[in-house]
Amino acid sequence: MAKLSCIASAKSISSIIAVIFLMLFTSFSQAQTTDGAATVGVVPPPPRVTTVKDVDGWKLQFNYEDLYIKGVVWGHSPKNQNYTYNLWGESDQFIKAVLDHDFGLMAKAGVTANRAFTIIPPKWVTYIYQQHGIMSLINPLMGRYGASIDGVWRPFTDYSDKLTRETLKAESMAIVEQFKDVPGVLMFAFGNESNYGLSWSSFEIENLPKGEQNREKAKYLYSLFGEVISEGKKIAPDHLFSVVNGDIQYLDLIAEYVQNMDVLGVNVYRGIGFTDLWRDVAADFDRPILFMEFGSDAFNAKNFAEDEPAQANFLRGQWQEMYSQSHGNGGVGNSVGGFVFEWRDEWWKYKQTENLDVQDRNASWSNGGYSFDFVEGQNNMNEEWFGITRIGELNSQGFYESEPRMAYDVLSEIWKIDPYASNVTVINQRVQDVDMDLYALKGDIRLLKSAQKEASIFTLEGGSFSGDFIVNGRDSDISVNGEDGLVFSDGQMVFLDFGFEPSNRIKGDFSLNILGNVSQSDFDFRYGDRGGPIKFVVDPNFPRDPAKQSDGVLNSRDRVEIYDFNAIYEGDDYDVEAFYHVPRYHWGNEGDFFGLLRETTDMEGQDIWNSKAPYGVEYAGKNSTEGLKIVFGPEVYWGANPLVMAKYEFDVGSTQMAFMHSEDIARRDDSASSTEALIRQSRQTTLYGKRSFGGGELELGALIASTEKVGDKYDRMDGTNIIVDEIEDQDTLGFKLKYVRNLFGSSKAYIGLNVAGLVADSGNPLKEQGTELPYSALGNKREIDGGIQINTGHYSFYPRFLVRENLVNANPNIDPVTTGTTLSQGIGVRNRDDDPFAVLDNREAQSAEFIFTYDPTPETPFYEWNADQIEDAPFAYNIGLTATSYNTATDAELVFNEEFGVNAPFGGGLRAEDVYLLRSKLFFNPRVGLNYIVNLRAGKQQSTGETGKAAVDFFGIQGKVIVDRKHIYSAHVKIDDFGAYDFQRQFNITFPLQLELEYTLLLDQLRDEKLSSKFGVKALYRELDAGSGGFDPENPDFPVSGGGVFENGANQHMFEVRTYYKYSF
Amino acid sequence: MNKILTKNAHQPNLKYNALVLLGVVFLLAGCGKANNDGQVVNSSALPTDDTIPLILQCADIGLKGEDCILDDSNNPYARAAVNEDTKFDLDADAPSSTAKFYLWGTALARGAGAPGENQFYTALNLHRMWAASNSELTRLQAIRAYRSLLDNYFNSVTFFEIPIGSEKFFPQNLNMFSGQLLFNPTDLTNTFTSARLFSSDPNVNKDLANQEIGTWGYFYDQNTQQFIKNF
Repeated sequence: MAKLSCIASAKSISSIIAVIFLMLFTSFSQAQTTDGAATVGVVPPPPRVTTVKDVDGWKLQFNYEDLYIKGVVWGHSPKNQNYTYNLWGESDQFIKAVLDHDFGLMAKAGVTANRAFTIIPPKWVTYIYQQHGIMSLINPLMGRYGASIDGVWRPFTDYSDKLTRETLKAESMAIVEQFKDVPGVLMFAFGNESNYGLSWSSFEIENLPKGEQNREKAKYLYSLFGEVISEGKKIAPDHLFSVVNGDIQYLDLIAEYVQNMDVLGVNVYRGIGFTDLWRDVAADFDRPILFMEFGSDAFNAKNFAEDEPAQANFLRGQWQEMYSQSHGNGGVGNSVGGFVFEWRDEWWKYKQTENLDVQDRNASWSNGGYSFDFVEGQNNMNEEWFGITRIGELNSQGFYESEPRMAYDVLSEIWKIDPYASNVTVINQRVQDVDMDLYALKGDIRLLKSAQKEASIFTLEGGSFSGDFIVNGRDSDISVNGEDGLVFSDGQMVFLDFGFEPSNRIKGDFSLNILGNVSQSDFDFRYGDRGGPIKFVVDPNFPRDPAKQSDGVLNSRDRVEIYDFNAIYEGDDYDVEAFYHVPRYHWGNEGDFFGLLRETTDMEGQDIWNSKAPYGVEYAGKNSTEGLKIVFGPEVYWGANPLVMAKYEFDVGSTQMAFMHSEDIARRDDSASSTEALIRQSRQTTLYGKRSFGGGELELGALIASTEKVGDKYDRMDGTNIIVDEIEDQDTLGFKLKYVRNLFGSSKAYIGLNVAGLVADSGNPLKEQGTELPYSALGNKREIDGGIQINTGHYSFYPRFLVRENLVNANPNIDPVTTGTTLSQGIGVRNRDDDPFAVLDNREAQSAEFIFTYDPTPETPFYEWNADQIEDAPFAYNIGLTATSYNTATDAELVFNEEFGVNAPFGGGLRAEDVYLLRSKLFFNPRVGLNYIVNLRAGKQQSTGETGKAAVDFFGIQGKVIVDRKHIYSAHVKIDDFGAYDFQRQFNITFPLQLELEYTLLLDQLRDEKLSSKFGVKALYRELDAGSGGFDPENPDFPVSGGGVFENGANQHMFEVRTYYKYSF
Repeated sequence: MNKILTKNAHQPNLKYNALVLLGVVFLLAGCGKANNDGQVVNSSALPTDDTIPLILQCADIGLKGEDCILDDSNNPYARAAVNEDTKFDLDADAPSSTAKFYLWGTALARGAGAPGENQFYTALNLHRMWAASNSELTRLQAIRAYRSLLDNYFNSVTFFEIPIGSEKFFPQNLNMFSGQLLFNPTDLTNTFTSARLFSSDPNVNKDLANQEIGTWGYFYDQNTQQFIKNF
């Protein structure tokens, strides 16, 4: 249902990204086909599909035999996957299994053709045709959801741009050339509702009234289609050519610019019938009509339940009308068939990157033609429920089977009818004779049988059993005790995942974690450590019971806990979701310009400390309250105080605006990690606006924060004087501006200004494109940043800068002195507990960055969070250098003192210093099933807390090799680097050498490093020196340089070997 | 079916946009800290007369969890750099118990180093101030401060240097000192105070102290000089 994407793309960047991957697959499939067609069987001469017109109308013929297209729109998106999933990157054996399953079912039902949004590689087009007799429509999308132009991904395609036209034309012709002789090709069609995606802007067009703007843009679109078809016919004169238009909008322009089109392809969602479409086309542009999409969803938004009969009934009515309008049946005679949207449900369509394991029941657009669930003012089209089959169970071959709905059975009957061999009376009679009650019953039984689990109120959905064995040793122990110095331990852990659905509108899931033994690592903190032994020390001064004066070890009773929980109520006017330790995303792309709601997706990072964020409830308005969101809870993002936060998005003219308020309602009493300081209770209010301005995009935001601090006193130096001052209203204000504009070619530039009063603290800044510029959430700054992203071909050069000064500098440490009865006050570094503000990562900085990127497949974004999984370029890499001069020292960071449950400041601040970070990432994918990923880092960086220490010079390389998505080899070497945990950098804990080697064997077809059953072995080694003190798990004292694991020199090496297994079910 | 929305045409209002931008720049330029704000506080006079009764800035001044002492205009240390590194030196140089009360109360409110010893020395100096001023309010505040130590920092210690100048320290539990000061205050080494908080009669003082701490939920074994929690 490309219409959805059209609508969504205007609102959501995620949908734009979605289609990047459609293009990726296009590129991928091209790469796959260099030796493709010749590999399957004997290639016969390509059969021809032609159009025929006589007095009875239009029809298609295939090898001179009448052909009526009984098609489906096919795609294969498993559960837990979205548009990034690439079936063609799997093994041939797996692909065959999937195709045989899906196209076998299609062939059984009488399907004659398919249309796919990803271009099926030639050898598989032929395979599908030869094995199952089903032809494929080849459908280059021609920039419908963005295009890579001159090496840059442009989400909105400008069809008037010369380079864009040339690029799209060249790409399309390459595809035509590639497929022209491939057996199984039905025809070529270009675009997909491209007339709904005329979103680009230019000075010339923006000066026109809105309606005319789109019409002018459409002329460019259709003239390009005309040119492409002309060129295509030169390459493949035996094939038919079409476009995929959104309904019959701009039919006059089509008639004017695309006269060479053989078949008019349209996506039509008018309900159970097609009204005057047939006559309108015949009158204005006489071509055979092929429905590229049409159909109905199988979810009743009014009843909030699956509705197989409604879908089947609509499809029956639609096919009946199509048949009656086909050649020789008394109607207009221009219907030649259609592709039902769609073959199988896709669980990623709503929100596209979230809830991929859940079939979302939110309707995302409204259509009055679908009367069975239409209510005025409410959405009724459920994007994830359009399949005539649903996603079934995972089978032994590793893919989710397609499970027919009632519509499949009904269409199987209808597709038995040959409209060319019947007359309309017979057709109508046969269609009416389809026993809907029988198939409804059959559907119900099938649903009950195979989806019994889904229908249950409470189900065990899966889980895992894992275990490990650890051997660790320390130099100091082994040198004294030999082999007896080695320590062995083992651990077991069970996860049980439960789902519940007490009513149609409420559903959820949760996981239980159960511990057996807990293995003891000398290197890592891990989830499950809560069940480890608890050491206790008797206070020699105050033994409560003199008979029990010895120290000892207790076994923790903390063996079972709820790991995560999620439940949602889906109402007509609002959704309410309760969440506990499940990933949640920021609102940065929906009006949260100051980043108040921080993303919490690092669940593994939290598990180390057994943190349970995010934890809270979210209300999301619909219909009349669309744009309103309220979230509240004990910890709605990792480290948050208990708070309530509300956001309302609205439009004022052409300006998109958002109003937000966040109010802490209490202060946390425990650290979010082991040492992260508690934050003071506070509040923030923001107003944000975005609009086009001067040919670019302007974003403006205003902030009022920490008003509770007005009147608070603080000290500062003014020359040699110590000044006591207080926070005033103006210190709570902040303003932020960002302006982005396209420059020459595919390049763009941005400039940002950020001025924030002393206590105008905001949230996490949105960092993009791998930047390491020292952005800060804290106030007390005047900041300007900017950059120019220069793109040429597959290369990108991105110089950026950031300059920041403080309104008030950090304090020095000058001790107070008493002379007689006079106290010279002295002054000390501030901290964020005792003072209303402190100069920390918002310190003065002059920073410059240069990032060079080579990525021949910009459709798969190099900087996407899951780039390791999705980047498929044969070779892609980047090199980035960030250099920062910190000319002033900072105030003191805070650290959480667990013993007393309070923050404690470090004694001083970080000193003024120049630092840099050089890094590079490389992807090398020489063939399908062989992937190399390498990360290099070198630099000079400061601690994030410990005072008075010089910056650390370090180097590290990390590599991973994935073979057949089954064998994973990884290694890292770090020299003089900080330890892996935040607190280690906080306390300046470094190791001369850190080594890690790991091999993992994935044991199932999921081939997901996190989810699959697996076996592995991991070896870790560290060299120690005086800088390696710190939190010794065996001796958890406060870090003392030279102490801790280094044991004042007695322990200079430590190692660990861990063998692990996991069985998922 | 996707109808293209049409709206009335309008020319971009460049003047409006420019005005908005100018306004923003103006606001940006106006935001910041004027350098002539504030009050110079290079030095302050320390109180020297312990006979002047303490004026409570707030009811819980000198107790854990109350930081009103930082806003007390009589507190000369309110803005001073009182921290773990400076507090004992400042204590040594403070000219009066009143000054020391403000010093340790400030340390307590700021969390400067070990909080138990901050609470203990705050209580001790309230105790001394009462001895000098005979102010009932100060006496009661001293007793509350000792209770705060037991309630909040029962196992806290402070460190004493032995021998003096050796830079070697040994820990000493503070509730033991508290017991001594509540039950049998002696000051042979001129470290604490010998003033009795409950009665000038030693035995009556012990009895009254015993009654008082009993209401707090503690028992003090005068033989072992150990406190025991009854809860």
